[in-house]
Amino acid sequence: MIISEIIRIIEKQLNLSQNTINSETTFEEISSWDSLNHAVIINLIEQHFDINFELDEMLDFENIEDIRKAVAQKIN
Amino acid sequence: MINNNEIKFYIEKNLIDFFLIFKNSENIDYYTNDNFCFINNKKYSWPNFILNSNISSKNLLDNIIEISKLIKTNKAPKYWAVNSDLAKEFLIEIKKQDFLPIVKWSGMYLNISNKQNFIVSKNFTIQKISNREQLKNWLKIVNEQIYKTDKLKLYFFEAALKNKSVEMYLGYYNKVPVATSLLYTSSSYSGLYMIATKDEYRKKGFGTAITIHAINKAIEVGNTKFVLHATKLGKPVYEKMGFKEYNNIYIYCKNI
Repeated sequence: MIISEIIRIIEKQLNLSQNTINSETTFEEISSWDSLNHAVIINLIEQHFDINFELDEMLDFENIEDIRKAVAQKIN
Repeated sequence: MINNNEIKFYIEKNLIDFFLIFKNSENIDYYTNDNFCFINNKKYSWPNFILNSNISSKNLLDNIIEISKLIKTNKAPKYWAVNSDLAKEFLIEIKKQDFLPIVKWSGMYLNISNKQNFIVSKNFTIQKISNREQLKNWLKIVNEQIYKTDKLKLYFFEAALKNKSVEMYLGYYNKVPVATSLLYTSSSYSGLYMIATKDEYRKKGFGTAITIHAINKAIEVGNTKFVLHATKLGKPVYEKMGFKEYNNIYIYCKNI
């Protein structure tokens, strides 16, 4: 499942406990989510799925579901 | 008639010139060569940017590697402001060198020669900053609303206050300081910076009012060309004032 892989990457990068975030979580709800962590996480997701996001696309993500949709679109 | 390339150039130039007004301040390192420059505060984290306008595909990789070395040895800041007109190969190469995009600003421009009206509560007044007390109040709002920390230090802006190209404005609602703006003019282009409104006073037109006030003051002395660098949230507000997007400035951070 794409979503569980994305969540695992985010939890690892931000040292979050399991099950604290889900597909509906917005970045604003995660206190440690800042602009640098955003960029690092997106970079890790690109590497994990072997995809590349457009520059504007990656800066426009506002929640985990946005990332999931974009990943799904690229790997399909 | 001004062409789009000139507008794009001055959108970036105004930003670079604005940061460089702080280059002679205490604790600041300033470095420049033919291709890029940077301003680096050794004590605080602002205004720390690598700024460039002259990196071409010929010297691309050499410059990125040179900058990376300077960052690794703490000589250069890790934030790099890059304009969207740089070649795509630059954006690919910069990513390979572990620079990650963290922020996008819309480079916007407005040509206007008639003073604008704004409708706002009669209890809202605007003062040009002329003393330290006003400046402290101005800085408190900018730090709280834009930077979420006390990132900007008073001594920088005390120096800026003496700079004739800079004017800072503070908006009061019922005598309480609530909104800020800064106007910086360089090469006949006036840049708008540090536009902020305290959370609890938003949606009352104060941000628009203090922006238009700064524009009107510039028009009074004959300036007609205005630029700003908007965040995603601010862009629709400036579009309503007539500003149009011409390019983007991306802030990259070296992931070290």
